[in-house]
Amino acid sequence: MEYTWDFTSVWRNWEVLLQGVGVTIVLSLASISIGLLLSFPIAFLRKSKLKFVAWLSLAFIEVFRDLPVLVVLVWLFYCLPILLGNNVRLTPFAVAVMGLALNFTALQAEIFRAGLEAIPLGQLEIARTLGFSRYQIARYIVIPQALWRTLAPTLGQAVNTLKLTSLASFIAVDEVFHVTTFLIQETYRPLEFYTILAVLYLLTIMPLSFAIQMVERRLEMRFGQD
Amino acid sequence: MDRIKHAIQIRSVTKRFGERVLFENLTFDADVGQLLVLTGPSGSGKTTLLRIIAGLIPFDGKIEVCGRPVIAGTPCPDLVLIPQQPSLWEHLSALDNIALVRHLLFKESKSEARQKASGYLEILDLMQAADRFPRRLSGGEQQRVGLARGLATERPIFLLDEITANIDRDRKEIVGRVIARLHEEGKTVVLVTHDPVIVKLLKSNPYCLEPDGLHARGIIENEDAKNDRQQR
Ligand SMILES: Nc1ncnc2c1ncn2[C@@H]1O[C@H](COP(=O)(O)OP(=O)(O)O)[C@@H](O)[C@H]1O
Ligand SMILES: [Mg+2]
Repeated sequence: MEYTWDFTSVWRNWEVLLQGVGVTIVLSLASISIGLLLSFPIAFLRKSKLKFVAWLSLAFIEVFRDLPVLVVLVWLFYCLPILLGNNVRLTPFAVAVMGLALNFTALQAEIFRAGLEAIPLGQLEIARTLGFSRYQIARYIVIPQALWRTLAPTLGQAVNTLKLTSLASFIAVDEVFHVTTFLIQETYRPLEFYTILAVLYLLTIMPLSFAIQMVERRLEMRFGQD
Repeated sequence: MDRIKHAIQIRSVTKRFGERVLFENLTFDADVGQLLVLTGPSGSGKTTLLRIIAGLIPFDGKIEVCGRPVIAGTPCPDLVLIPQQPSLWEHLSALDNIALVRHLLFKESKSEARQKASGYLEILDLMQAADRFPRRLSGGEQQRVGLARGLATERPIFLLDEITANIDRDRKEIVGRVIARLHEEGKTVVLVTHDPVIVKLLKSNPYCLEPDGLHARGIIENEDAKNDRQQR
């Protein structure tokens, strides 16, 4: 059987598709930014001397690391409005940011924790004998070093979140996957649209992948073994 | 006025790890401006002793540094410990390892701190290593950067632990000269080493820290007395 590829309806809806890509990128950036801000403190709390605090942050990490993102999204979408009452209105986009950020935070907190634990104690001991304050040690040694050491896996995690944004289509966020599904229903051209969808994801993610490889090489110069 | 004569005063210091007694009733002084060379077999507790003096680990007995009692967990602003493992900050270049010390201890601006730092690198023949990161330095280079970072503190008391362990013959002479100059400047230096080259370079009589604490005290005191007699 011969199939005649016809991309005319794709070109005709080009702008709508690009808008979808825009939503995908904004959704990723918002979730990743919030996740980065939350994950560092949670990684610290995970090592807290207060048992309860450490346990709470561990529980958070465990729950949102284990739950499939799709389950989190639909749960937040359907259950949260009921729990919050009628006067709180959440847009699908807001719910998607929340769900993706929760997942990113949980995974990223573990990455940061590993980065913090990878710093040899001798480096902190030296700083202490020199009389650096706790704040100075955190500001000049622990935090920058943990960030450097975890840069590559952090970028990997960011790419992962970008891929997961497609799940937001289940709660009707107008990101590129959802837009594509909608256009297919309109035009009956699934093969063309799914092909273009794949190309669009590749074009968005590939530059990031190259950036990661460059970062990894630079990190190798700093922290790699000979 | 009371001038402090003893930079480090150690009185009946005992260190145990569980059942094991590392040394017992250790008593000796390091005078201001003294270059005290300590040797002793591996495992005799030299590193542990320096860590005790630096206030890093608990001990029994009494130690005073510049007239102030040493309390484990409270670092002393008068001394700097340069450990056997240089423990450079791995996210910073050799130069910035030293610049950070200048920036935080002397409130120097970034550029001022870096300028001072390169001066210390130069003293230890490390200019070619300035921009390299610790993982990209040889063991000997790391140790010399560690020493340069210590010099940058300008503190009156230096505790040096096996400072030449990974350093090649030519650079040992540089390190020897740096230590001799610290001595000439009137700094107090406690040098733990079993490197005969550096001991010879410094023309000093090493004291031996023996595994048996009582013996160690005897030997150190005897050697001390003998040394005094020789000087007279
Ligand atoms: N934290 C510790 N716990 C138990 N034993 C230790 C500890 N630190 C050092 N030791 C032991 O104390 C002994 C002396 O160590 P160290 O001070 O490093 O000796 P040296 O520097 O003279 O070679 C060694 O046998 C070592 O295993
Ligand atoms: Mg030792």
